Amino acid sequence: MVGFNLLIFVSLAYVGFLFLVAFWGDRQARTGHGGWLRAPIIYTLSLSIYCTAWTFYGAVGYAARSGLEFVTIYLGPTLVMVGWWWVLRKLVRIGRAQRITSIADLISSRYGKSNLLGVLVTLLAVIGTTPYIALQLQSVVLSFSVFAQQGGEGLADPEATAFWVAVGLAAFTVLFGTRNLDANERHHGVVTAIAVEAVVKLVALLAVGIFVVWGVSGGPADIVRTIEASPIDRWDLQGPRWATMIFLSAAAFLTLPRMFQVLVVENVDEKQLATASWAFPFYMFLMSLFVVPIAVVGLEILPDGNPDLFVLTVPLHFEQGGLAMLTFLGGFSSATSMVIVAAIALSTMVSNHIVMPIWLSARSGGAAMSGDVRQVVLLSRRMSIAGVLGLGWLYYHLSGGSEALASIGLISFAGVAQVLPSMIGGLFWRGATRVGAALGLTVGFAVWAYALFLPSFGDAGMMTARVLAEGPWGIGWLRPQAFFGVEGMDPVVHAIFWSMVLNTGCFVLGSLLSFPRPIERLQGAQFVNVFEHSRTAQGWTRGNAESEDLLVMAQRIMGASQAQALFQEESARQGKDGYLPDTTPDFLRILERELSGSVGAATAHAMVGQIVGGAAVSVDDLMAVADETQQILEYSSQLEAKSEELARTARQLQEANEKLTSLSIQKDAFLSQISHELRTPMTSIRAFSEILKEGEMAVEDTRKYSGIIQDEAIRLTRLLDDLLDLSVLEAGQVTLNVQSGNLTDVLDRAVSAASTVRDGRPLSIKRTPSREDVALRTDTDRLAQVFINLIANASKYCDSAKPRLAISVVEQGGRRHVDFVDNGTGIPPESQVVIFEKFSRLSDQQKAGGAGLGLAICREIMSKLGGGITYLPGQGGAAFRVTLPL
Amino acid sequence: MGKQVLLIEDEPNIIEAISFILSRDGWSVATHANGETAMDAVHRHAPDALVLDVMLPGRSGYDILQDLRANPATADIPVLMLTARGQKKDREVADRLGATRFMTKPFSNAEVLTVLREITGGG
Amino acid sequence: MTRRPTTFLARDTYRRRRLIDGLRVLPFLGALLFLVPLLGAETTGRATAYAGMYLFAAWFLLIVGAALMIRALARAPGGVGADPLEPGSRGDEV
Repeated sequence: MVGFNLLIFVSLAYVGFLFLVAFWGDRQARTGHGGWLRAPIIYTLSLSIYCTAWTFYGAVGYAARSGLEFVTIYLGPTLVMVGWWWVLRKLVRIGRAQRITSIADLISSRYGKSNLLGVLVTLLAVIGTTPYIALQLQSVVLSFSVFAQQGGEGLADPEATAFWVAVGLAAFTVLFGTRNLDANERHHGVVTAIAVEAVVKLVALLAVGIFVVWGVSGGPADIVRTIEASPIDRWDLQGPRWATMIFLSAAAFLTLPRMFQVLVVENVDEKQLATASWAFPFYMFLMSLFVVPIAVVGLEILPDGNPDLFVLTVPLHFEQGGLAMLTFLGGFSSATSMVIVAAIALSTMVSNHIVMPIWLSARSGGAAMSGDVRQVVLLSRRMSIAGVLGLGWLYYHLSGGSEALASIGLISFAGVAQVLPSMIGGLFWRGATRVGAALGLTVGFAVWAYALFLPSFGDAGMMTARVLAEGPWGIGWLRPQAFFGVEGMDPVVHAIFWSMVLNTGCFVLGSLLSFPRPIERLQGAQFVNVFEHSRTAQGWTRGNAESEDLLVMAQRIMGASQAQALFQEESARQGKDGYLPDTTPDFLRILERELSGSVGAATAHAMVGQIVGGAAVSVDDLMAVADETQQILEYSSQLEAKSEELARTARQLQEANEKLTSLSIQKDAFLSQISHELRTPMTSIRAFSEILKEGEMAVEDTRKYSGIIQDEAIRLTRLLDDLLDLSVLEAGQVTLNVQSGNLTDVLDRAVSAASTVRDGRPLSIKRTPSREDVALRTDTDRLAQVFINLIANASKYCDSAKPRLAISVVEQGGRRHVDFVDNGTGIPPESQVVIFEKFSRLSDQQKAGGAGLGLAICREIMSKLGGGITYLPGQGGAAFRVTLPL
Repeated sequence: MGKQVLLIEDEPNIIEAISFILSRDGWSVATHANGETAMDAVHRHAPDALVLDVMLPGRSGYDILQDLRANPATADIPVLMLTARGQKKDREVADRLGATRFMTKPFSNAEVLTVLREITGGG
Repeated sequence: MTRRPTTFLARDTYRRRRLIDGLRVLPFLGALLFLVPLLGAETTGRATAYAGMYLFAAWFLLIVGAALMIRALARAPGGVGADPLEPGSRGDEV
């Protein structure tokens, strides 16, 4: 016999194990060992969240009541999977091309990045999913109470159990679902844990099935006899219901937010889909193979028992404690994996389509200027997860855990299936418009609520028996379960039939009668013809955005290193150096897509729009829509490639020319500068020495003037030293004293040496010692010289009231960088290109005492050492990035 | 009291040196170190002569000279230009803009005094 | 009578296209199989045991058919990722 305490212990241990698995999966993915995560089998297993506790426990109950009808719940998805070439392949391709984050994002993105539709689908999904989450909580509580009754105690407080289960699930989801704001919104830890849970529930159900067929009965023949003798020996097939259920489960499989999450968002490779197209039906096949045998054996030996719990009570009846425990874990897995993924999917939708737009519009200052967006997004996701689970628990609490919940599964399916017409229409019909989609969704949703959802609450709800029988205010043709006086239909079939017909009708009619906005037409073409131009989602025209503003914004959303890498890559592609590419329409489009992976298409569009401003679509873009034939597309893409190449060459030539011109100007300027720098101290020296030579001076004046002569002589010497240093470096005659060292030591040395610089102001330096422990093999004295120069510069030129300098070590692209960022006003973009040139002192402040050679020397040293130094724009203050030698 | 000279120069040690030489010679010396506000200083002091450096923070000496010559109130003030960039080009620019005299740093103290006396008409 | 070998160009690509055609037909075949029990359902009651066997057998056949086709497609040039009929998708890209 299994003690209740043992059960608690085992389930806690199992939860702990799942935590470890998720943690491990996340780590594997982050450290780059996650290749196996791309294995089709993991993807297939993650799809198993379709089989929730409702199917794990409920399928047997369903079979015990209605015979074979339960199998429709699996047949629909089987057809969708087997027919993957039609719909799923397209969905996955679009999901990748457009960086879709959720089903709401898909609909919003397809219909011109409309936030209205995003909100609509989000609301629909939350309303449709909340009861379903409640159902999962109920199943966990029920299975607990079965064991508690066995122990003779009864479950003390079912509500508290449900509450703590919800809290635990929220914690797990927050921990692994919002660990970071991934560019592609994939959750490797969660997927790994769910794959494990998928195996557990399959093994559990198969074990019970095998036990029932060969342990309790005498094999398949015996089971057939038991079926013949059971109350469900005759298959009472209701045609309309059978077909409707297959359709409904197929539709829900595509539109359930959690299924969209695992099918499309978490998909990394189309090969996964190909394998899953037969492997997942096979999984469902195995899940349902023993359902009828378990049901009939349960009906035989426990005629008064709750059929929904046969999977548990049958093994317990035969004193199979271990088997029952396994079954319990199977059911537990079904419930938890569904809730976790549903919570992730819903929180993404709520956060991207409801919270972020509100937050953005509240911050009229614009996305670039308002704090760390990443933190806001993560926080809003976490709050949304807690909110979703809280709603689920509340629903459970209010419905009192009643039997009525059992029927909610189908009702929930029917609710989310309302997205189907807009989704399929959007994928295959370019004429589908936002107005049509909004109309169809609203009408379908309303019919569903009126004919199915509200009546499910029974008399207690808004639908009294009177309304059901006579219609609202006695209007007969509006009876919730007999629209237009068509009577005798099964209520579920009735609701699905009418909601789908009216939904599709309004969608089609609305689309036919309305005109799409330009951006809708573009997105429509992108979606419908995704296989023809996967790479060209549309967006921006001539950008007048400031590259630097965009970088600032992108850093806040994607994280500094990712954003910088993206900008640098684009710069290189355009044939430029540094981090600030031209804001070409192409680049804006790429940027927007990357951002939408983090915050959703509509929000990303709005954010880029805030900075870029102006219209998003030009005549050129519309021409692209009109180009329907393949030849034109191909031809124009060739032309485009050619003109792009030409433009690149031209840009490079222009840059080379500019460089030559500026070199000659530079030579003149250099001589002139040298003259100036040498003559200035010389002037003081000559003037004062003439004065002194004349004699007749007070003693203190004599001392003062000789002091000035000395200072100026020192200044002159220093200048000559710098010049010599630079010319030696430039001529490549320098011998490097390569030795082993540690970054911490070099920085320590530099900081203390720089603090003795006479004319600097006190500067507070922030360092991260934990990241500085880097072994170096280079000329550490020269490296220290560079660091001293940068620190001294910050203390001279940082114009903040409280000058601060942050020195941080960053790893990016396999190289280590040391960033020096101060809190002053920084260096204006037009000057950023010249600061590394000789004598490029930006202000003429002589008091700074330098001749403007410091950064030029730094650059020479770093290139000699095999590293580099660049100016890093968009960091708030002046920021220099020293790339350490390899 | 001697004539007044306004010295527009930003290098503190050079200011010190020129002020010393001139005041010892009986001039009354005012100094100004910023190019941007140099015109205001000229109007305020209304000097008899101006010693003007070319490289100034904010605004170059050439620009100031141009403004001086364009304004009738200051068009006739004698200006001695100083520069540390002794290229021929610099002298030409100064001549064209109407500098009275032009000297390259480092200068001889005596020469500065002589030139200043000359351009202010003996004294 | 001797048979002359006929020339047939791009045999592999042709085969692959027909495989994809097969994949496209599969869901309709599945739907047909699953809806067959509807025929005559009004007039005859059926035994759960045998109807169940039929359904599971049909289901299993569908799965096996899909698996075999995917396997063949994966081995064909171009793999499962690309459709030769679709412009813009190349065989080497997945």
